[in-house]
Amino acid sequence: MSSISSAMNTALSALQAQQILINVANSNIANASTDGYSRVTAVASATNTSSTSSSSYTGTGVEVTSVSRVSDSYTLKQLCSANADAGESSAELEYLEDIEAVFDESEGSGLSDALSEFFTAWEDLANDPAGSTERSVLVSDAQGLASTINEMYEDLEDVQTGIDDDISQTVDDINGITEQIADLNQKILQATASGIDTSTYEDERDSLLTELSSKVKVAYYEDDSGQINVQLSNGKSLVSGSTSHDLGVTTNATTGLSDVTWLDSDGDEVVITGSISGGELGGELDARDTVQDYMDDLDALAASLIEQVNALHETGIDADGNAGVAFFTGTGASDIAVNDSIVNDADLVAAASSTDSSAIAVAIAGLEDTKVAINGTSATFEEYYTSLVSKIGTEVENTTSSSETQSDLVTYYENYRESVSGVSTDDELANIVLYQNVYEAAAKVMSVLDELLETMINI
Amino acid sequence: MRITNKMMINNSIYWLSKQAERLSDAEIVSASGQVINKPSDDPAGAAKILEYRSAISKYDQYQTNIDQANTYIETGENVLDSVDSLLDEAIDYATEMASGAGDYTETYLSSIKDIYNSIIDLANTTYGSDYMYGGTDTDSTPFSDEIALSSGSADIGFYLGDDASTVTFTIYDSDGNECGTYTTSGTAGSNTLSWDGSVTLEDGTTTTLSDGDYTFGITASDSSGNAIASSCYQGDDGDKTMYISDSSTIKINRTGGEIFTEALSAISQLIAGLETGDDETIESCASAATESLDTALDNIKTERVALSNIYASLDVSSDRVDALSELLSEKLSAIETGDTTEAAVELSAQETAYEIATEAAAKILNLPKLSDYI
Repeated sequence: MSSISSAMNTALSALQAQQILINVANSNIANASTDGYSRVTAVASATNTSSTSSSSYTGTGVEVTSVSRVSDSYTLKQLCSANADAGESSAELEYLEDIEAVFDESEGSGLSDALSEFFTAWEDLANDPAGSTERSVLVSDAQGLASTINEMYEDLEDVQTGIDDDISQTVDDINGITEQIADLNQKILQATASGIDTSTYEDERDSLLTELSSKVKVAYYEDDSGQINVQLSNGKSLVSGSTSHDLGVTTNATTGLSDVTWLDSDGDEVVITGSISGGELGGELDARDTVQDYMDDLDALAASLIEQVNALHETGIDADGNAGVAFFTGTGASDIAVNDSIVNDADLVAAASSTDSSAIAVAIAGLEDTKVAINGTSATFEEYYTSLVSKIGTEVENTTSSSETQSDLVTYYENYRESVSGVSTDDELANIVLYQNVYEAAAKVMSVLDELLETMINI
Repeated sequence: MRITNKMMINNSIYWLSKQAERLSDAEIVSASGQVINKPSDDPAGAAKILEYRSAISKYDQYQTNIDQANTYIETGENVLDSVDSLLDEAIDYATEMASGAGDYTETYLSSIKDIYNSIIDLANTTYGSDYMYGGTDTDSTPFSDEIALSSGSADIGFYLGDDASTVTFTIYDSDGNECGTYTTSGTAGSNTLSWDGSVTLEDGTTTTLSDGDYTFGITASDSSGNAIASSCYQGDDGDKTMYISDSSTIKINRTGGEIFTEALSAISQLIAGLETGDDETIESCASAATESLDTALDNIKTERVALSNIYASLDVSSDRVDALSELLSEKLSAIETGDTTEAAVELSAQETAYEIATEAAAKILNLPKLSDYI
């Protein structure tokens, strides 16, 4: 008798195990489209044999020994690292394109055009130094040039301020994510202690790590208790067990722009702007420096223009026979302007020298083709500006292609991760068919055993 | 590799969006008719576009300069042509007067005064709003014998053909009466006298004139007593310079003193002679003036040759600038618009590729699944 009842137990264990397996497959199918979901596999194994002697070996059935997430921590690390690079280059690209728009000359109106018109106006004046039309055209073209430079500088400043705002936003995002990771660490610790399944928490934490790495480059490791510790690439801790360390933003006294800070264990702010790399935040900080470079370049162009034109103009003689005043006022791109007194009285334009009625106008017009010192280089104004346009063009072109490469790499790792952890409904269905067959067979066995038992009883 | 449903969908979406991006790029090129729509489309090409555009605008300016210079020179040529005929006329009179003026003294005087005034008018020609022959000073009348004595001082401009040890100004009041003379010295070219209003009277005494309007006549001689050409030129020695290419400028002589002093001086000499009414003086003045008038005529002819030389070189420059500008315009449009056929082909290729990508995505979404058969 004992063998029939043990056989019934074996059949029962098979029925129970198939139910668990079908449940697992069912849950996988349910989450086939869930982002960040790692499929779960159940491992069924034969239960220990209970035999009185080795010659009468029989199995005792099957049991599901473990249910576990299928995940590949190495792929996740690769994905995070690719994310950091992709986040950086795509953030950088976004702002570089903003800078590029400031330098866009494809419609034929811009600084290049304004420079041409300015010098052309001087040549026209040289041809008719006393002409009042030529004088007023020159003054309005010069005002056009100055305001074009002012506007470009302001546009660049706007881009820079925009980036600064985005930096605060990104820092907030990072703080939100690290808090959640610390929170999940805590939940995982507690769940593990009480023997509860942690798959969902781990999936969520993996997703957060991926998201965090696209915001800033981080390094992380899992400790013995299953908690994940996260550090910035400069070694400052963001998440340590169930505690998260917030990043902050303060205004730099010199630049007036935001600095990123990290709170140390004493609650003091440590400025870490310079040591942040990767991710959106890294890209934003890089782009902000790049904007500053272009602002400085434009500033140098304006300063040199003011210096060169004024130097010549002040040696000239105006239409009233007086010595020339400064043609431009201001010191750089932000404040270059045509001298107010010239705007009010175009006769103050000093076109003549002491021996030639148009010498100064000719000389200033000649600046168009003269190589002057700008920002440590020697170039004509036009050449210098053209080099800026082509520099930003090249930067955008290069960043576009590196951003594409990085995002392709992210796609590759996402696919790879999906290949390992993702749900294939075909796989699951095939398994379910198998489990169904086994279930049917075990039920059949049960019914045979039942008949055997009945036969026994009816003897 | 294990392929999951999500992977297939993700890949379809990825390639669809990539293909859509390429299609949109091709559409922008075709629609705008420009290959380069922002610097990053082709940084080197974008730089070239700016370079060509500014070069073309410069060539346009050179062309404007050349056109202006041409008109300027044509005007100058007309002036000098008239002066040329007037001097011929004056030479004829002088030749006749060399053998005495007789009863015709008054007729000669008025004719020659007319010639003098005509030449002054021509020398004071304006171009636009500028005096053509005043050097740098384009606002004040280049040849003027008017003096406005104010607060006991007045600046008087004059021009000398050579260094002169004695320059004598004869001052007249507004009614044309002689008030006295003032003597100074001067160097070849433009001079300015800061006059304090003092004059020497015929009796050798000195007096200072009161403020008011006066006119003056001028004569000059060197230390040996030889007459030096002089005129009432108020301008300076400046020239007009125009850029006609990156490196070359042309200079147009505007120094009226240099061009007209010899002529005006010779004619003044004739007038002075005629005004004495003394036949002997008239004859000697006329023969001296004939020589000076020949020199003056030579000066004018030399100036006309110089002008026609500039004119010819402007013609060459104009052709060159035109050719360069056209060449650059062609290059510019080649870079800017690229090959339109190529753009059209590219667009239709991308359209086809996009269609294929959408078809593929639709197929993938509709692939049979195991569940269809179970």
